[in-house]
Amino acid sequence: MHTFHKRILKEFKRLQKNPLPGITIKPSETDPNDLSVFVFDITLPPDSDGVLHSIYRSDIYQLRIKITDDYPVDSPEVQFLNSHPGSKIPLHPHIYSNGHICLDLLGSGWTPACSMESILLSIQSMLSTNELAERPPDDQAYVRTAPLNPKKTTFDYHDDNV
Amino acid sequence: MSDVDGGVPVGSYSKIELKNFSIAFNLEDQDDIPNIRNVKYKSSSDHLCCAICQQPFIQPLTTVCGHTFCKECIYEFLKVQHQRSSRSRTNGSDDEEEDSGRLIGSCPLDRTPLDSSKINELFPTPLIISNLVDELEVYCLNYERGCEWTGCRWELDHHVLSDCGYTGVACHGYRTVDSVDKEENEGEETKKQTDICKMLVERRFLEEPRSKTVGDGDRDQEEYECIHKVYECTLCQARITKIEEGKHLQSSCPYNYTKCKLCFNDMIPMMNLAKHEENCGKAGHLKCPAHEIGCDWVGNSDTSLEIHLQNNNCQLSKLLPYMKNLNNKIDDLSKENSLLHRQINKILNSIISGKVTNLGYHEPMEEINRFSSELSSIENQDKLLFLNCELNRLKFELDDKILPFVNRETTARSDRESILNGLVNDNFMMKDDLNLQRALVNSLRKQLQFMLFKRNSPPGLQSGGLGGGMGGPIRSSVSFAEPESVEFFDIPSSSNSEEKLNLKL
Repeated sequence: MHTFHKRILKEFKRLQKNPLPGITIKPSETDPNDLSVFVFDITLPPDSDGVLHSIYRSDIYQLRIKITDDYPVDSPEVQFLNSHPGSKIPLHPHIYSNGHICLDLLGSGWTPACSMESILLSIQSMLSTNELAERPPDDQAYVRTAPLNPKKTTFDYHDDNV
Repeated sequence: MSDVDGGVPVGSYSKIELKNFSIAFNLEDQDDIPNIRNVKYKSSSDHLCCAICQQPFIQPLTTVCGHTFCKECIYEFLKVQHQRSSRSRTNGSDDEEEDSGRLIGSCPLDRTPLDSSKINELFPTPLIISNLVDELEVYCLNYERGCEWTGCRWELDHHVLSDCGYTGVACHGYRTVDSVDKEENEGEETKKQTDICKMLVERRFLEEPRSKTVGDGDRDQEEYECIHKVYECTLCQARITKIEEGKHLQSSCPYNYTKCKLCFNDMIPMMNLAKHEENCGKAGHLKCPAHEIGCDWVGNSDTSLEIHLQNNNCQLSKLLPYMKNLNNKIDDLSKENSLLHRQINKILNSIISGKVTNLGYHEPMEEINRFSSELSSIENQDKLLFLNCELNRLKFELDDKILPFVNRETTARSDRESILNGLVNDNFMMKDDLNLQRALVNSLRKQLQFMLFKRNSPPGLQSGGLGGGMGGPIRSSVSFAEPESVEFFDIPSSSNSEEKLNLKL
């Protein structure tokens, strides 16, 4: 049993009770006895005028949040999945083609006051504010040498625009 | 159907059966203390929750930036931060860790630098917060085992450690080692080995056999007979332990007979009783009309019902109309009572809010009367009565106060009247006196005139005149001393005095 089982349970219950717009949790991936892996479907919700102004349109992406043993003192492992048929990695200058995300919230910017909800929201907003359909400049080189666990990578957070 | 549900069904998309880990507390060692982190709260406020564990604070500490965390949480976080930063530091230089008690990091909420060794950067939260958190209502740690206790968090330790019957404790009972052992060591077949049971048992099971065996003082050894000892159910020979006994008899022993209340068949196993009662052949479909007030009779046919109602069989059915009447009355009264309650509340409210100032006579009486449709006439009568009394009281008061005044006035008036009468009488008397005086003066004048006349006339006449005894000596003195001057003086004076008198009268 996780040391912060009750916190994870609470976060999870809140996500189930008040789902964020455009985000659904996929129960088939979650082991109710463990509560350490969560998979979410992320789409961008339409703007207030009902129109979707985004290069991602209504595509559905799958995001996996793996709760580490140190959670919430340490950040969870977060990455996009392309293992399922039909799922793909969103084109974004901070998202590598293996699903790793360059986001300071997932590394040095993490504090225990953040939650899965805040991760989901910031990734969603990262997608919705982006207008460049491209990979990071070092994508090829990174993907060849990248570790499986995105937390093992030390990212250099330099771009605050997107 | 399975084909349709092959994929992930949309309806059950966000449903995961959550499983809570068991938190029930076992007191295996005297030093065990319940872990308050596991406790389930009845209600809590987000403001009283630690940002790290998202549970109500436990031993809260406050940072210099004003945020509050559980002691354990913030230390855990600072430790990780400290390790991380010292690791990156030791990469560069070979500095060993300084004193281990000192942790340096930053606040998880706003990244204010924190040093755990400085008491002004991380200090115990004001007592009011810890008190608030300790006051939160919690369930018993053993609520999964069936304990229904709830109370403040600070009471939990005591409850779980010394009161709760569901706390697991070591059995400590003596146990005779089973036949399995005997077969293995055939030489010691007859020797019975005893052992102290170490298994856990809920405290409530333990209390009972202990108190029972106190009576059998001669069997010292089995005073604490292990309640895990398996024995045979006296009814069905199933192998059970003391813990399972109640449950076994209730729901699984096939020979624990009981009696059906309807068909009086006493061969119904307890485990089947509920089912039997549903299907009992004697199960009545007709109920006594008095079943509302407690008649248990049930029957199958109208004739049996008639018999039941005749011959004073059912006393309750006779009471039924009376009871119904009473019930109606009670209903009416309770309705009226609630109406009055509302009125009183209304009045009290308006008094409190200052609408009614002069004790009841005021404008919002209309509002109150809105509620009193049926009771208004009674209320009016009451008011009338009250006003009448008030009127009478005022009348008496008035009489009491006014009468003395009136009496005093009347006596004063009569006094004044009598004085007036006296004055009038005086007046008359004085008038009479005056008339008398006038007559006297007149007579004197006549006398004087006569005497003057007599003096002027020849002296012969004088002796034979009207001169009386009285005038003699005066007349002689005057006439002999200065007759000229007297005449000269006397006539005008007498005429003057005459005029005066005339004027006066």
